[in-house]
Amino acid sequence: MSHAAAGRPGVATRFVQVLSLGLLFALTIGATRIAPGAGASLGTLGAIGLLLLAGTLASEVLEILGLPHLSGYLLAGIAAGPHVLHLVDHDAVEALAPVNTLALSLIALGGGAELKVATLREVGRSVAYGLLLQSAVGLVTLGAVFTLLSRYVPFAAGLPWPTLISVALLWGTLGVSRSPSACLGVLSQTRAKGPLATYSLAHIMASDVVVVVMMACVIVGVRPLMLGGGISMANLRVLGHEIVGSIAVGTSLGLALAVYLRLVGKNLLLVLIGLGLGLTELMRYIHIDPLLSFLTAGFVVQNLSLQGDKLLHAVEQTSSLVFVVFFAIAGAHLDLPLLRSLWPIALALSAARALVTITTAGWASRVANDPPIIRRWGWSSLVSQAGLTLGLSVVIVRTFPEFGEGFRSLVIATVALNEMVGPVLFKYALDRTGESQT
Amino acid sequence: MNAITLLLGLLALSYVGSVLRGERAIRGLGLASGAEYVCLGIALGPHALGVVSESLLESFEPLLVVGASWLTFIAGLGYGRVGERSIAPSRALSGLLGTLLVGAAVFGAVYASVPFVAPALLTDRLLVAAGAACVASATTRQAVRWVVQRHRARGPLADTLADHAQASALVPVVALTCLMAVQPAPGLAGFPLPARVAATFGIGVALGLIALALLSRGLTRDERWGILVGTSLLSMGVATRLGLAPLGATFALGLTLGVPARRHAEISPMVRPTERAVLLPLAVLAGALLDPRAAPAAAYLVPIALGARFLAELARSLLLLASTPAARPAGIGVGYGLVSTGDVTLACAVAIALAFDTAFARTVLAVGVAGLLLGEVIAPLALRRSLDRVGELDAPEGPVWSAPPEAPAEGDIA
Repeated sequence: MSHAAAGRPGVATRFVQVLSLGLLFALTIGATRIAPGAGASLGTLGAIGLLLLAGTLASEVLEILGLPHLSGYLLAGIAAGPHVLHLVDHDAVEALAPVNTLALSLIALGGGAELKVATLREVGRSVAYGLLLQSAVGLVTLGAVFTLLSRYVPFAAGLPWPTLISVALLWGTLGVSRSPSACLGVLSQTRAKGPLATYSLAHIMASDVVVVVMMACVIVGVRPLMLGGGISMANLRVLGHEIVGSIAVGTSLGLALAVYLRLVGKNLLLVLIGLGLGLTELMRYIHIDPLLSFLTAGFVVQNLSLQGDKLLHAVEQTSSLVFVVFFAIAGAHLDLPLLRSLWPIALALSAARALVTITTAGWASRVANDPPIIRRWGWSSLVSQAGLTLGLSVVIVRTFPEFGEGFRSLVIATVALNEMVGPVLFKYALDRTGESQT
Repeated sequence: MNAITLLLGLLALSYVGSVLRGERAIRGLGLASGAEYVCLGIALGPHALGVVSESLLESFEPLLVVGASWLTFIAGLGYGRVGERSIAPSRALSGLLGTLLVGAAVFGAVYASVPFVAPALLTDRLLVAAGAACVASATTRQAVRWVVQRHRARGPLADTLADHAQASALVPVVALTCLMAVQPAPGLAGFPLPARVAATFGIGVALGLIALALLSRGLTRDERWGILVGTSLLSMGVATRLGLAPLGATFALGLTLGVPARRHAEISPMVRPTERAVLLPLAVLAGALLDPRAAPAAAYLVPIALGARFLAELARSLLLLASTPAARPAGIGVGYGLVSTGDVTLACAVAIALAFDTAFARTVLAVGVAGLLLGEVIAPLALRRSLDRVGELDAPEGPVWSAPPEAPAEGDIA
């Protein structure tokens, strides 16, 4: 919650919030314990309600510590999730998958609409150098770190060299993926304006496209290493079809949205939900990447029409609730036992990633001759990882089932760390640079 | 039809519903209770054209529960008020007593006739009678508003009928809550029935108080939505978890939130536009849920229940005419103006059908749907006739309805 309407909350308000949070958990724990025969959790409906309320309240309470709202949503999800209070079970988390679909489409649509050509021109040089160095150096260095540490990785120990290198390249690619949702979430909370906010948004949204393409290329490249045979041009054709098709579909969608916004402009909540849920399924069916398509659509509305602000406003309104549930689900989804067993290697890999990100960002800033604020803090938004990374790991599981599950477990463990630390760092940087408006 | 197609269809219906919500649209388009969408659902359902299959309906059950509960939440929020005007306690009481009278008549008729016309339902005799009373006693507030708006009615009888219709919503909700408390989750079975009913409403009240505490400081529109949606879904989830009536819990939640006039004035314009957007998809799915083969006794029990209601409405008319001198010129048919059922009744019928999923529940759904369709035909005509007789139609000037105009800027669905 922001405090636009009421200023900074006082002690009494905080007390009410803490009390409400306690009552909320007491009520739901009581409800699940009083009738243990019917399963221990609240079911899907109760789960959404609990995650929404508890996430909102926890974010308010944690604001006292200067933590971003996302941390509150995540912690509420962890507390309510299957590994702590068990108020939200695995089935409910799985049943809430449409919320994730909707959230990701809104993130992409909103992200695209945030990318104004003028802004891109302004930070284009910085973003281009940043992306180039982060992607190239990150891919190689993180792959190398993974190879070095592979003896401690349960599923990678004893893999033949070609397979190990392939897995390392996949890991390196995932390592350069960022979290558009975390970036947008923190920016939305802080209402930050300034060079760091602009740079972070442009970098992360552009890296979204780059990583999707990189991942597709790496998969095409490593498949022969693992499964034998050569690089099939058919795979590249499929990749081309997917990328060009996604951009084409996104452009058409963007134009249609612009026309709707211009001529009707009402009931956007229903329209966005319909697009987010229905169109995503349709795109998947015809092998079009929904993220890239929605990103393009948002970009088209913003830059080829006068309806960009209207779209952004509608996306913000719709996503304000969806994001709380989305991140709280992510918290509930965190596999704590897995994190407990993999934490040393996950921590080492996360630390390596953070180090590479910080170093490369600084290097890229120097090359691009960025302003001091970007040189010092440009890396801060790049540590977070969330839905996009997990989504890409699902693609890897599907493509390489022989080691995919173990790989995904390690991804989940590292994303868990990056997800918790990243938003805190980014908010801290926005506060320190004075760009935060709240 | 797959789930995504159906979902998109329902979203399209919501879109239509939100377009039809405006005052002008209500005057010119559609029926008051959305009965035409129930007919559409019957036609599309598994027992007619089969466009919507039974398995698809099953997968949409949670959405039905959410839709039905949201409607009772809105009803609870506006309970005791017609627009911004509070109903006088005496009017609310007489409205409640009239509804109870009708409910008792329906209950008695169905209970007495089950051994003769539906021996298969003998074990559920009490439940089917209570269920029929639940779905054939209330009056939808939309029907009165619809006639009043269409014909610019204004006067004491129009106000009285509106107040009675508004007050009647409590009866089906309490009846449903009692019905569902009969078979709670195992952990609650040891508690007496009144305690379970109190627990149902207690969930809503407790979450309502939490919501009030959170809403008490200035919040943005999105933040208010977060609290409303969160508390509503949580009350539905907790009630469902305990085997209690989610609709009762959300009604109590709405009622609690609507008590402070300031909160009511703040929240009501936000949620009112969603009412029709939720009602239309719910009406379609309710129509599709109707299964004549699963409710063979409906052929007898529907006419008995509705016949009892029509007779009871005559008695109610007499009481109304006796207690309201201004209504006397309207004649004894004035009670038939109150036979139309709508959102709350439909929500209760759907909730019973989903919660019990037995022949008795399907029979109750059939009674509810038949009452809705018949009420749609009779009530507007009877209302218009009564209001015409007392000279309250086509008011020359002034507001025709004390409710604020529909579709405020904030009310648009985002």
